[in-house]
Amino acid sequence: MLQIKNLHVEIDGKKILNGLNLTINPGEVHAIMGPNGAGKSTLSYVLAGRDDYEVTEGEILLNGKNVLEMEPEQRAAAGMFLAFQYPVEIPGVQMTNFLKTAMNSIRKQRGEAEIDALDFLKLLKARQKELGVSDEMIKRAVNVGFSGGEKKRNEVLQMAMLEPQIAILDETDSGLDIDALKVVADGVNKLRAADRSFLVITHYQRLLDYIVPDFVHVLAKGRIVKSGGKELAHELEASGYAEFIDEAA
Amino acid sequence: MTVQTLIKDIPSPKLEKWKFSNLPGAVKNLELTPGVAAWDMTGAFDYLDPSLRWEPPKTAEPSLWTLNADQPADTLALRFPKGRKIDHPIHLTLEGRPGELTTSRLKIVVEEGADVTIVEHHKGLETYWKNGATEISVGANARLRHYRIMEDDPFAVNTQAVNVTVRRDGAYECFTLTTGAKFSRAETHARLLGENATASLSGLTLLEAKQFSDTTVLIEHEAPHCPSNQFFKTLLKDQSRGVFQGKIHVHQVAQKTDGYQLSNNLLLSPLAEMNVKPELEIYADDVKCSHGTTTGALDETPLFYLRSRGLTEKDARQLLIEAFLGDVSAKITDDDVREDIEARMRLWLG
Repeated sequence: MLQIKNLHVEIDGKKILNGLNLTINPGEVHAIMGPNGAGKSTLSYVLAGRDDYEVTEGEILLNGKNVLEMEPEQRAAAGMFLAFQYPVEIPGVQMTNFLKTAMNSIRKQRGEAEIDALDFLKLLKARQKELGVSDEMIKRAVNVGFSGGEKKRNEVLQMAMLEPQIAILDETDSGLDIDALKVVADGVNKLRAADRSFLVITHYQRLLDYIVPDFVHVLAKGRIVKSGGKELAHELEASGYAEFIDEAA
Repeated sequence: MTVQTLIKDIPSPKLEKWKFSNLPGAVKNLELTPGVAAWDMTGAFDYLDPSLRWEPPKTAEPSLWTLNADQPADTLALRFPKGRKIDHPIHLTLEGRPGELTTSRLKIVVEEGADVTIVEHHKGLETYWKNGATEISVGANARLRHYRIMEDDPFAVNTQAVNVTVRRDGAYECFTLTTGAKFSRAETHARLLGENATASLSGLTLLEAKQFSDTTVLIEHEAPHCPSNQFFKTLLKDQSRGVFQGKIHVHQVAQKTDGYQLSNNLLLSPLAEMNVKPELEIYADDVKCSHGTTTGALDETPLFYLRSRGLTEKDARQLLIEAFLGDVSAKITDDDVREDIEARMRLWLG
Protein backbone atom coordinates (compact mmCIF):
# COMPACT_ATOMS: atom_id res chain seq x y z
CA MET A 1 0.00 0.00 0.00
CA LEU A 2 2.57 2.59 1.11
CA GLN A 3 6.18 2.32 0.03
CA ILE A 4 8.87 4.74 1.11
CA LYS A 5 12.11 4.20 -0.76
CA ASN A 6 15.46 5.71 0.12
CA LEU A 7 13.88 8.95 1.28
CA HIS A 8 16.23 11.90 1.79
CA VAL A 9 14.75 15.14 3.10
CA GLU A 10 16.25 18.52 3.93
CA ILE A 11 14.88 21.61 5.55
CA ASP A 12 16.78 24.87 5.01
CA GLY A 13 19.74 22.86 3.79
CA LYS A 14 19.83 20.68 6.89
CA LYS A 15 19.51 16.94 6.31
CA ILE A 16 16.71 15.40 8.37
CA LEU A 17 15.98 12.09 6.67
CA ASN A 18 18.85 10.05 5.22
CA GLY A 19 17.66 7.13 3.15
CA LEU A 20 14.54 5.99 4.95
CA ASN A 21 12.93 2.78 3.70
CA LEU A 22 9.54 1.49 4.82
CA THR A 23 6.85 -0.69 3.30
CA ILE A 24 3.38 -0.92 4.80
CA ASN A 25 0.94 -3.51 3.51
CA PRO A 26 -2.86 -3.28 3.73
CA GLY A 27 -4.22 -3.88 7.22
CA GLU A 28 -0.89 -3.51 8.97
CA VAL A 29 -0.13 -1.24 11.87
CA HIS A 30 3.44 0.03 11.96
CA ALA A 31 4.93 2.02 14.78
CA ILE A 32 7.89 4.32 14.39
CA MET A 33 9.69 5.16 17.59
CA GLY A 34 12.70 7.28 18.10
CA PRO A 35 14.41 9.96 20.09
CA ASN A 36 13.64 13.65 19.73
CA GLY A 37 15.12 15.11 16.58
CA ALA A 38 15.26 11.76 14.78
CA GLY A 39 13.01 13.06 12.01
CA LYS A 40 9.69 11.57 13.11
CA SER A 41 7.58 14.67 12.55
CA THR A 42 9.44 15.47 9.35
CA LEU A 43 8.39 12.09 8.02
CA SER A 44 4.74 12.75 8.83
CA TYR A 45 4.77 16.22 7.24
CA VAL A 46 6.57 14.99 4.12
CA LEU A 47 3.97 12.25 3.74
CA ALA A 48 1.12 14.77 4.07
CA GLY A 49 2.77 17.23 1.68
CA ARG A 50 3.86 20.20 3.71
CA ASP A 51 5.78 22.79 1.66
CA ASP A 52 8.79 23.57 3.83
CA TYR A 53 10.55 20.27 3.22
CA GLU A 54 12.74 19.44 0.27
CA VAL A 55 12.92 15.85 -0.87
CA THR A 56 16.36 15.47 -2.41
CA GLU A 57 16.24 11.76 -3.16
CA GLY A 58 13.94 8.78 -3.02
CA GLU A 59 10.25 8.22 -3.59
CA ILE A 60 6.97 7.61 -1.85
CA LEU A 61 4.34 5.43 -3.51
CA LEU A 62 0.74 5.05 -2.42
CA ASN A 63 -0.90 2.13 -4.24
CA GLY A 64 1.82 2.53 -6.86
CA LYS A 65 1.19 6.26 -7.40
CA ASN A 66 3.90 8.84 -6.87
CA VAL A 67 2.85 10.75 -3.76
CA LEU A 68 5.56 13.39 -4.04
CA GLU A 69 3.94 14.79 -7.18
CA MET A 70 0.62 15.28 -5.44
CA GLU A 71 -0.74 18.37 -3.67
CA PRO A 72 -1.78 17.81 -0.05
CA GLU A 73 -5.47 17.69 -1.04
CA GLN A 74 -4.74 15.11 -3.74
CA ARG A 75 -3.01 12.95 -1.15
CA ALA A 76 -6.10 13.22 1.04
CA ALA A 77 -8.25 12.13 -1.89
CA ALA A 78 -5.85 9.25 -2.54
CA GLY A 79 -6.53 8.01 1.00
CA MET A 80 -3.79 9.56 3.11
CA PHE A 81 -4.59 11.08 6.48
CA LEU A 82 -2.32 12.77 8.99
CA ALA A 83 -3.46 13.13 12.58
CA PHE A 84 -1.46 16.21 13.59
CA GLN A 85 0.76 16.32 16.64
CA TYR A 86 -0.42 19.89 17.13
CA PRO A 87 -3.92 20.17 15.65
CA VAL A 88 -4.46 23.66 14.24
CA GLU A 89 -7.03 26.10 15.61
CA ILE A 90 -9.17 27.70 12.93
CA PRO A 91 -11.29 30.47 14.41
CA GLY A 92 -14.49 31.17 12.52
CA VAL A 93 -14.70 27.77 10.82
CA GLN A 94 -17.31 25.68 12.52
CA MET A 95 -16.64 21.95 13.06
CA THR A 96 -19.65 20.56 11.19
CA ASN A 97 -19.08 22.82 8.22
CA PHE A 98 -15.40 21.86 8.20
CA LEU A 99 -16.07 18.11 8.31
CA LYS A 100 -18.70 18.30 5.61
CA THR A 101 -16.54 20.50 3.37
CA ALA A 102 -13.60 18.10 3.80
CA MET A 103 -15.71 15.02 2.99
CA ASN A 104 -17.22 16.64 -0.07
CA SER A 105 -13.88 17.97 -1.28
CA ILE A 106 -12.50 14.44 -1.25
CA ARG A 107 -15.62 13.06 -2.93
CA LYS A 108 -15.45 15.75 -5.59
CA GLN A 109 -11.82 14.91 -6.38
CA ARG A 110 -12.79 11.27 -6.70
CA GLY A 111 -15.63 12.17 -9.05
CA GLU A 112 -18.26 11.14 -6.52
CA ALA A 113 -21.49 12.95 -5.65
CA GLU A 114 -21.68 15.14 -2.54
CA ILE A 115 -22.90 13.46 0.59
CA ASP A 116 -26.57 13.90 1.39
CA ALA A 117 -26.99 16.34 4.31
CA LEU A 118 -29.01 13.86 6.33
CA ASP A 119 -26.62 10.96 5.69
CA PHE A 120 -23.79 13.21 6.78
CA LEU A 121 -25.46 14.06 10.07
CA LYS A 122 -26.28 10.41 10.74
CA LEU A 123 -22.69 9.39 10.12
CA LEU A 124 -21.40 12.22 12.26
CA LYS A 125 -23.72 11.31 15.14
CA ALA A 126 -22.58 7.68 14.99
CA ARG A 127 -18.89 8.62 14.94
CA GLN A 128 -19.37 11.15 17.74
CA LYS A 129 -20.97 8.48 19.87
CA GLU A 130 -18.14 6.01 19.26
CA LEU A 131 -15.52 8.58 20.19
CA GLY A 132 -17.39 10.34 22.97
CA VAL A 133 -17.40 13.67 21.14
CA SER A 134 -20.09 16.00 22.52
CA ASP A 135 -22.51 18.04 20.40
CA GLU A 136 -21.20 21.09 22.16
CA MET A 137 -17.69 20.40 20.80
CA ILE A 138 -19.10 19.95 17.31
CA LYS A 139 -20.75 23.37 17.46
CA ARG A 140 -17.48 25.15 18.16
CA ALA A 141 -14.88 26.42 15.72
CA VAL A 142 -12.26 23.86 14.69
CA ASN A 143 -10.00 23.15 17.68
CA VAL A 144 -10.71 26.56 19.19
CA GLY A 145 -10.91 26.33 22.95
CA PHE A 146 -10.42 22.55 22.80
CA SER A 147 -8.36 20.90 25.52
CA GLY A 148 -5.35 18.83 24.47
CA GLY A 149 -7.40 15.65 24.75
CA GLU A 150 -10.29 17.13 22.77
CA LYS A 151 -7.95 18.18 19.99
CA LYS A 152 -6.55 14.66 19.65
CA ARG A 153 -10.01 13.15 19.82
CA ASN A 154 -11.04 15.57 17.10
CA GLU A 155 -8.21 14.28 14.90
CA VAL A 156 -9.51 10.75 15.33
CA LEU A 157 -13.06 11.95 14.61
CA GLN A 158 -11.87 13.46 11.32
CA MET A 159 -10.09 10.20 10.54
CA ALA A 160 -13.27 8.26 11.24
CA MET A 161 -15.28 10.54 8.97
CA LEU A 162 -12.80 10.59 6.09
CA GLU A 163 -12.05 6.84 6.26
CA PRO A 164 -8.51 6.95 4.90
CA GLN A 165 -6.53 4.00 3.57
CA ILE A 166 -3.40 4.99 5.41
CA ALA A 167 -3.54 7.02 8.59
CA ILE A 168 -0.44 8.58 10.09
CA LEU A 169 -0.70 9.34 13.79
CA ASP A 170 1.95 11.85 14.76
CA GLU A 171 2.57 11.75 18.51
CA THR A 172 -1.14 11.32 19.09
CA ASP A 173 -0.39 10.35 22.69
CA SER A 174 1.47 13.53 23.61
CA GLY A 175 -0.36 15.65 26.14
CA LEU A 176 -2.97 13.02 26.90
CA ASP A 177 -3.77 11.63 30.31
CA ILE A 178 -4.40 7.91 30.52
CA ASP A 179 -8.19 8.16 30.19
CA ALA A 180 -8.00 10.36 27.13
CA LEU A 181 -5.35 8.05 25.70
CA LYS A 182 -7.67 5.07 26.04
CA VAL A 183 -10.52 6.87 24.32
CA VAL A 184 -8.29 7.90 21.43
CA ALA A 185 -6.75 4.41 21.15
CA ASP A 186 -10.20 2.78 21.21
CA GLY A 187 -11.25 5.08 18.41
CA VAL A 188 -8.26 4.08 16.35
CA ASN A 189 -8.74 0.39 17.07
CA LYS A 190 -12.34 0.54 15.88
CA LEU A 191 -11.03 1.82 12.55
CA ARG A 192 -8.58 -1.02 12.10
CA ALA A 193 -9.56 -2.96 9.00
CA ALA A 194 -8.10 -5.32 6.43
CA ASP A 195 -7.85 -2.56 3.85
CA ARG A 196 -6.65 0.21 6.16
CA SER A 197 -3.13 0.71 7.44
CA PHE A 198 -1.68 2.83 10.21
CA LEU A 199 1.64 4.46 10.83
CA VAL A 200 1.88 5.33 14.49
CA ILE A 201 4.67 7.76 15.32
CA THR A 202 5.51 8.01 18.98
CA HIS A 203 8.28 8.74 21.40
CA TYR A 204 6.89 6.51 24.15
CA GLN A 205 5.86 2.89 24.24
CA ARG A 206 2.75 3.72 26.31
CA LEU A 207 0.45 4.31 23.31
CA LEU A 208 1.46 0.95 21.83
CA ASP A 209 -0.04 -0.86 24.83
CA TYR A 210 -3.40 0.31 23.50
CA ILE A 211 -2.79 0.43 19.76
CA VAL A 212 -0.87 -2.81 19.37
CA PRO A 213 1.35 -2.65 16.30
CA ASP A 214 2.33 -5.46 13.94
CA PHE A 215 5.75 -3.94 13.42
CA VAL A 216 7.94 -1.54 15.35
CA HIS A 217 10.75 0.49 13.77
CA VAL A 218 13.38 2.61 15.38
CA LEU A 219 14.08 5.91 13.63
CA ALA A 220 17.39 7.53 14.49
CA LYS A 221 19.43 10.13 12.63
CA GLY A 222 17.01 10.15 9.75
CA ARG A 223 16.72 6.45 8.93
CA ILE A 224 15.31 3.25 10.26
CA VAL A 225 18.02 1.50 12.26
CA LYS A 226 16.10 -1.44 13.67
CA SER A 227 12.81 -3.21 12.99
CA GLY A 228 10.98 -5.87 14.90
CA GLY A 229 7.65 -6.98 16.33
CA LYS A 230 5.68 -5.35 19.10
CA GLU A 231 8.13 -6.62 21.73
CA LEU A 232 10.72 -4.17 20.39
CA ALA A 233 8.71 -1.33 21.89
CA HIS A 234 9.11 -2.85 25.35
CA GLU A 235 12.83 -3.33 24.87
CA LEU A 236 13.13 0.31 23.92
CA GLU A 237 11.17 1.38 26.95
CA ALA A 238 13.64 -0.52 29.13
CA SER A 239 16.90 0.38 27.37
CA GLY A 240 16.20 3.84 25.91
CA TYR A 241 17.44 5.18 22.59
CA ALA A 242 21.08 5.79 23.49
CA GLU A 243 22.51 2.80 21.63
CA PHE A 244 20.75 3.79 18.40
CA ILE A 245 21.91 7.35 18.52
CA ASP A 246 25.51 6.10 18.80
CA GLU A 247 24.97 3.37 16.22
CA ALA A 248 23.51 5.71 13.66
CA ALA A 249 26.27 8.22 14.22
CA MET B 1 -12.57 73.46 -13.79
CA THR B 2 -9.98 71.64 -11.82
CA VAL B 3 -10.55 70.89 -8.18
CA GLN B 4 -7.66 73.15 -7.18
CA THR B 5 -9.48 76.23 -8.47
CA LEU B 6 -12.76 75.08 -6.93
CA ILE B 7 -11.53 74.27 -3.45
CA LYS B 8 -8.84 75.75 -1.30
CA ASP B 9 -7.19 74.15 1.68
CA ILE B 10 -7.69 70.49 1.00
CA PRO B 11 -6.37 68.65 4.10
CA SER B 12 -3.00 67.14 3.30
CA PRO B 13 -0.76 64.46 4.84
CA LYS B 14 1.16 67.23 6.57
CA LEU B 15 -1.64 67.21 9.15
CA GLU B 16 -1.31 64.44 11.74
CA LYS B 17 -4.94 63.38 11.21
CA TRP B 18 -4.22 62.89 7.51
CA LYS B 19 -0.70 61.46 7.69
CA PHE B 20 -1.63 58.27 5.81
CA SER B 21 -4.16 59.78 3.41
CA ASN B 22 -3.25 61.91 0.46
CA LEU B 23 -6.52 63.57 -0.47
CA PRO B 24 -4.86 66.37 -2.50
CA GLY B 25 -3.11 63.68 -4.53
CA ALA B 26 -6.33 61.77 -5.08
CA VAL B 27 -8.27 64.76 -6.42
CA LYS B 28 -5.43 66.46 -8.25
CA ASN B 29 -6.34 67.33 -11.85
CA LEU B 30 -9.92 66.17 -11.47
CA GLU B 31 -12.16 68.26 -13.68
CA LEU B 32 -15.26 68.84 -11.59
CA THR B 33 -18.21 71.20 -11.46
CA PRO B 34 -20.28 71.76 -8.32
CA GLY B 35 -23.41 69.65 -8.22
CA VAL B 36 -26.41 69.47 -5.98
CA ALA B 37 -26.82 66.49 -3.69
CA ALA B 38 -30.09 64.83 -4.61
CA TRP B 39 -30.98 62.21 -2.06
CA ASP B 40 -33.23 59.41 -3.10
CA MET B 41 -35.38 58.60 -0.08
CA THR B 42 -37.64 55.79 1.02
CA GLY B 43 -39.70 56.14 4.18
CA ALA B 44 -38.22 59.50 5.12
CA PHE B 45 -40.83 62.01 3.93
CA ASP B 46 -42.87 62.05 7.14
CA TYR B 47 -39.81 63.05 9.08
CA LEU B 48 -38.44 65.91 6.99
CA ASP B 49 -38.00 69.02 9.11
CA PRO B 50 -36.48 72.01 7.28
CA SER B 51 -36.60 74.05 10.49
CA LEU B 52 -33.65 72.12 11.94
CA ARG B 53 -30.52 74.23 11.87
CA TRP B 54 -27.24 73.11 10.37
CA GLU B 55 -24.60 73.64 13.05
CA PRO B 56 -21.33 72.15 11.89
CA PRO B 57 -18.35 72.07 14.22
CA LYS B 58 -15.67 74.69 13.68
CA THR B 59 -12.28 73.15 13.08
CA ALA B 60 -9.08 75.17 13.30
CA GLU B 61 -7.21 73.29 10.61
CA PRO B 62 -8.49 72.22 7.19
CA SER B 63 -10.89 69.29 7.48
CA LEU B 64 -13.77 67.65 5.66
CA TRP B 65 -15.98 70.02 7.66
CA THR B 66 -14.24 73.16 6.38
CA LEU B 67 -14.40 71.81 2.82
CA ASN B 68 -18.08 71.13 3.31
CA ALA B 69 -18.69 74.62 4.71
CA ASP B 70 -16.90 76.29 1.79
CA GLN B 71 -19.28 74.90 -0.80
CA PRO B 72 -22.94 75.72 -1.27
CA ALA B 73 -25.20 72.86 -0.23
CA ASP B 74 -28.71 72.10 0.91
CA THR B 75 -29.33 70.32 4.18
CA LEU B 76 -31.44 67.23 4.33
CA ALA B 77 -32.86 67.33 7.84
CA LEU B 78 -34.80 64.54 9.49
CA ARG B 79 -36.41 64.62 12.89
CA PHE B 80 -37.74 61.52 14.57
CA PRO B 81 -40.16 62.64 17.25
CA LYS B 82 -40.11 61.68 20.88
CA GLY B 83 -41.00 58.09 21.63
CA ARG B 84 -41.58 57.10 17.99
CA LYS B 85 -40.57 53.56 17.07
CA ILE B 86 -40.13 53.24 13.34
CA ASP B 87 -40.51 49.67 12.13
CA HIS B 88 -39.09 49.89 8.64
CA PRO B 89 -35.60 51.09 7.86
CA ILE B 90 -35.35 54.45 6.14
CA HIS B 91 -33.25 54.31 3.00
CA LEU B 92 -31.23 57.27 1.80
CA THR B 93 -29.32 56.95 -1.43
CA LEU B 94 -26.83 59.43 -2.78
CA GLU B 95 -25.67 58.90 -6.30
CA GLY B 96 -22.53 60.50 -7.63
CA ARG B 97 -22.77 61.90 -11.15
CA PRO B 98 -19.95 62.06 -13.68
CA GLY B 99 -17.77 65.13 -13.28
CA GLU B 100 -19.52 66.53 -10.23
CA LEU B 101 -18.35 67.71 -6.87
CA THR B 102 -21.30 67.01 -4.64
CA THR B 103 -21.39 68.60 -1.22
CA SER B 104 -24.05 67.07 0.97
CA ARG B 105 -25.34 67.86 4.44
CA LEU B 106 -27.44 65.46 6.40
CA LYS B 107 -28.93 66.26 9.78
CA ILE B 108 -30.57 63.57 11.87
CA VAL B 109 -32.26 64.25 15.18
CA VAL B 110 -33.55 61.25 17.08
CA GLU B 111 -35.58 62.57 19.98
CA GLU B 112 -35.90 61.04 23.42
CA GLY B 113 -37.06 57.43 23.34
CA ALA B 114 -37.34 57.24 19.54
CA ASP B 115 -35.95 54.24 17.68
CA VAL B 116 -35.00 54.32 14.02
CA THR B 117 -32.87 52.51 11.48
CA ILE B 118 -31.31 54.40 8.59
CA VAL B 119 -29.57 52.72 5.68
CA GLU B 120 -27.39 55.04 3.64
CA HIS B 121 -26.37 53.89 0.16
CA HIS B 122 -23.59 55.46 -1.80
CA LYS B 123 -23.11 54.73 -5.45
CA GLY B 124 -22.46 56.59 -8.66
CA LEU B 125 -20.98 56.67 -12.11
CA GLU B 126 -17.46 57.45 -13.29
CA THR B 127 -15.35 60.21 -11.78
CA TYR B 128 -16.88 62.38 -9.09
CA TRP B 129 -16.19 63.56 -5.59
CA LYS B 130 -18.80 63.37 -2.91
CA ASN B 131 -17.96 65.30 0.22
CA GLY B 132 -20.64 64.72 2.79
CA ALA B 133 -21.14 65.87 6.34
CA THR B 134 -23.63 64.37 8.75
CA GLU B 135 -24.73 65.70 12.10
CA ILE B 136 -26.56 63.29 14.33
CA SER B 137 -28.04 63.72 17.75
CA VAL B 138 -29.37 60.71 19.61
CA GLY B 139 -31.61 61.75 22.50
CA ALA B 140 -32.00 60.22 25.93
CA ASN B 141 -33.03 56.57 25.77
CA ALA B 142 -33.25 56.78 21.97
CA ARG B 143 -31.62 54.49 19.46
CA LEU B 144 -30.27 55.09 15.99
CA ARG B 145 -29.00 52.24 13.89
CA HIS B 146 -27.06 53.79 11.04
CA TYR B 147 -25.83 51.50 8.29
CA ARG B 148 -23.80 52.65 5.35
CA ILE B 149 -23.21 50.79 2.13
CA MET B 150 -20.44 52.50 0.22
CA GLU B 151 -20.43 51.14 -3.32
CA ASP B 152 -19.10 54.09 -5.24
CA ASP B 153 -17.63 53.89 -8.70
CA PRO B 154 -14.00 52.69 -8.71
CA PHE B 155 -12.94 56.06 -10.19
CA ALA B 156 -14.73 58.12 -7.55
CA VAL B 157 -13.67 59.94 -4.43
CA ASN B 158 -15.96 59.81 -1.41
CA THR B 159 -15.20 61.63 1.80
CA GLN B 160 -17.69 61.53 4.63
CA ALA B 161 -17.56 63.15 8.06
CA VAL B 162 -20.04 62.25 10.77
CA ASN B 163 -20.51 63.95 14.12
CA VAL B 164 -22.70 62.19 16.64
CA THR B 165 -23.80 63.10 20.13
CA VAL B 166 -25.50 60.54 22.34
CA ARG B 167 -27.46 61.48 25.48
CA ARG B 168 -28.12 59.45 28.60
CA ASP B 169 -29.10 55.81 27.90
CA GLY B 170 -29.09 56.53 24.18
CA ALA B 171 -27.48 54.19 21.68
CA TYR B 172 -25.78 54.85 18.38
CA GLU B 173 -24.89 51.84 16.25
CA CYS B 174 -23.10 52.28 12.95
CA PHE B 175 -21.82 49.70 10.51
CA THR B 176 -20.12 50.67 7.26
CA LEU B 177 -19.47 48.35 4.35
CA THR B 178 -16.99 49.87 1.93
CA THR B 179 -16.26 48.25 -1.40
CA GLY B 180 -16.28 51.25 -3.70
CA ALA B 181 -14.35 54.39 -4.61
CA LYS B 182 -10.79 54.94 -5.72
CA PHE B 183 -10.25 57.04 -2.60
CA SER B 184 -12.53 57.09 0.40
CA ARG B 185 -12.37 58.37 3.91
CA ALA B 186 -15.04 57.87 6.53
CA GLU B 187 -14.54 59.97 9.64
CA THR B 188 -16.69 59.53 12.70
CA HIS B 189 -16.56 61.64 15.82
CA ALA B 190 -18.89 60.34 18.50
CA ARG B 191 -19.47 62.06 21.83
CA LEU B 192 -21.09 60.22 24.70
CA LEU B 193 -22.69 62.97 26.75
CA GLY B 194 -24.83 61.20 29.36
CA GLU B 195 -24.51 58.16 31.60
CA ASN B 196 -24.85 54.81 29.86
CA ALA B 197 -24.82 56.36 26.40
CA THR B 198 -23.35 53.80 24.02
CA ALA B 199 -21.62 53.88 20.68
CA SER B 200 -20.95 50.80 18.59
CA LEU B 201 -18.95 51.58 15.48
CA SER B 202 -17.96 48.79 13.18
CA GLY B 203 -17.23 48.17 9.58
CA LEU B 204 -15.85 46.05 6.86
CA THR B 205 -13.71 47.40 4.06
CA LEU B 206 -13.02 45.25 1.02
CA LEU B 207 -10.39 46.65 -1.30
CA GLU B 208 -8.85 45.61 -4.59
CA ALA B 209 -6.83 47.01 -7.48
CA LYS B 210 -5.43 50.41 -6.41
CA GLN B 211 -8.27 51.40 -4.11
CA PHE B 212 -7.59 53.41 -1.00
CA SER B 213 -9.84 53.62 2.02
CA ASP B 214 -9.45 55.33 5.36
CA THR B 215 -11.57 54.80 8.45
CA THR B 216 -10.96 57.38 11.14
CA VAL B 217 -12.82 57.24 14.43
CA LEU B 218 -12.77 59.36 17.55
CA ILE B 219 -14.97 58.44 20.47
CA GLU B 220 -15.14 60.88 23.34
CA HIS B 221 -16.37 59.66 26.67
CA GLU B 222 -17.72 62.77 28.39
CA ALA B 223 -19.91 61.08 31.03
CA PRO B 224 -19.46 58.17 33.44
CA HIS B 225 -20.57 54.58 32.83
CA CYS B 226 -20.55 54.65 29.05
CA PRO B 227 -19.54 51.64 26.96
CA SER B 228 -18.13 52.12 23.48
CA ASN B 229 -17.08 49.57 20.93
CA GLN B 230 -15.08 49.77 17.72
CA PHE B 231 -14.65 46.71 15.53
CA PHE B 232 -13.24 47.14 12.05
CA LYS B 233 -11.92 44.72 9.49
CA THR B 234 -10.18 45.29 6.20
CA LEU B 235 -9.46 42.82 3.45
CA LEU B 236 -6.89 44.00 0.96
CA LYS B 237 -6.16 42.55 -2.46
CA ASP B 238 -3.76 43.63 -5.19
CA GLN B 239 -2.14 47.02 -4.57
CA SER B 240 -4.88 48.42 -2.38
CA ARG B 241 -4.19 50.48 0.72
CA GLY B 242 -6.16 50.78 3.89
CA VAL B 243 -5.99 53.04 6.90
CA PHE B 244 -7.54 52.70 10.31
CA GLN B 245 -7.15 55.43 12.89
CA GLY B 246 -9.14 54.90 16.03
CA LYS B 247 -9.03 56.90 19.21
CA ILE B 248 -10.81 56.62 22.51
CA HIS B 249 -10.68 59.82 24.50
CA VAL B 250 -11.84 59.48 28.10
CA HIS B 251 -12.51 62.77 29.85
CA GLN B 252 -11.79 63.14 33.53
CA VAL B 253 -15.46 62.98 34.47
CA ALA B 254 -15.99 59.70 32.57
CA GLN B 255 -15.31 57.19 35.34
CA LYS B 256 -16.31 53.56 34.72
CA THR B 257 -15.83 53.96 30.99
CA ASP B 258 -15.70 50.66 29.13
CA GLY B 259 -13.96 51.31 25.83
CA TYR B 260 -12.99 48.66 23.34
CA GLN B 261 -11.32 48.91 19.99
CA LEU B 262 -10.26 46.19 17.57
CA SER B 263 -8.89 46.43 14.06
CA ASN B 264 -8.13 43.23 12.13
CA ASN B 265 -6.69 43.39 8.66
CA LEU B 266 -5.91 40.70 6.16
CA LEU B 267 -3.43 41.30 3.35
CA LEU B 268 -4.07 39.02 0.38
CA SER B 269 -1.26 40.40 -1.73
CA PRO B 270 2.36 41.26 -0.97
CA LEU B 271 1.75 44.68 -2.52
CA ALA B 272 -1.25 45.58 -0.37
CA GLU B 273 -0.64 47.90 2.54
CA MET B 274 -2.42 48.71 5.78
CA ASN B 275 -1.65 51.57 8.15
CA VAL B 276 -3.13 51.41 11.61
CA LYS B 277 -3.03 54.00 14.35
CA PRO B 278 -4.85 53.05 17.54
CA GLU B 279 -4.87 55.64 20.31
CA LEU B 280 -6.08 55.89 23.86
CA GLU B 281 -6.21 59.19 25.70
CA ILE B 282 -7.43 58.72 29.25
CA TYR B 283 -7.91 61.33 31.96
CA ALA B 284 -10.12 59.34 34.35
CA ASP B 285 -8.60 56.84 36.77
CA ASP B 286 -11.29 54.16 37.01
CA VAL B 287 -11.84 52.99 33.46
CA LYS B 288 -11.52 49.87 31.35
CA CYS B 289 -10.11 50.48 27.90
CA SER B 290 -8.55 48.02 25.55
CA HIS B 291 -7.46 48.02 21.99
CA GLY B 292 -5.93 45.53 19.66
CA THR B 293 -4.90 45.36 16.09
CA THR B 294 -3.65 42.66 13.76
CA THR B 295 -2.42 42.91 10.21
CA GLY B 296 -1.04 39.99 8.27
CA ALA B 297 -1.31 37.53 5.45
CA LEU B 298 -3.25 34.28 5.60
CA ASP B 299 -1.45 31.87 7.90
CA GLU B 300 0.12 28.92 6.09
CA THR B 301 -0.46 26.45 8.93
CA PRO B 302 -4.29 26.41 8.88
CA LEU B 303 -4.09 26.43 5.09
CA PHE B 304 -2.04 23.24 5.13
CA TYR B 305 -4.30 21.71 7.76
CA LEU B 306 -7.37 22.28 5.60
CA ARG B 307 -5.64 21.02 2.47
CA SER B 308 -4.49 17.89 4.26
CA ARG B 309 -8.21 17.23 4.84
CA GLY B 310 -8.94 17.42 1.14
CA LEU B 311 -9.81 21.07 0.51
CA THR B 312 -8.23 22.57 -2.57
CA GLU B 313 -5.95 25.53 -1.98
CA LYS B 314 -8.58 27.86 -3.45
CA ASP B 315 -11.37 26.49 -1.25
CA ALA B 316 -9.16 26.51 1.83
CA ARG B 317 -8.24 30.16 1.23
CA GLN B 318 -11.86 31.08 0.66
CA LEU B 319 -12.92 29.34 3.86
CA LEU B 320 -10.22 31.12 5.87
CA ILE B 321 -11.13 34.48 4.34
CA GLU B 322 -14.79 33.96 5.17
CA ALA B 323 -13.79 32.92 8.66
CA PHE B 324 -11.74 36.09 9.02
CA LEU B 325 -14.69 38.21 7.95
CA GLY B 326 -17.28 36.13 9.76
CA ASP B 327 -17.82 37.82 13.07
CA VAL B 328 -17.78 41.48 12.07
CA SER B 329 -21.23 41.46 10.48
CA ALA B 330 -22.59 40.09 13.77
CA LYS B 331 -22.30 43.68 14.99
CA ILE B 332 -25.30 44.55 12.81
CA THR B 333 -28.30 44.05 15.06
CA ASP B 334 -30.93 44.51 12.34
CA ASP B 335 -31.39 41.04 10.84
CA ASP B 336 -32.55 42.16 7.38
CA VAL B 337 -29.73 44.65 6.98
CA ARG B 338 -27.21 42.08 8.21
CA GLU B 339 -28.37 39.57 5.62
CA ASP B 340 -28.26 42.21 2.90
CA ILE B 341 -24.73 43.26 3.84
CA GLU B 342 -23.54 39.66 4.12
CA ALA B 343 -24.93 38.97 0.64
CA ARG B 344 -23.01 41.95 -0.74
CA MET B 345 -19.90 40.73 1.05
CA ARG B 346 -20.23 37.25 -0.50
CA LEU B 347 -20.81 38.76 -3.92
CA TRP B 348 -17.59 40.73 -3.61
CA LEU B 349 -15.66 37.63 -2.53
CA GLY B 350 -17.03 35.81 -5.59
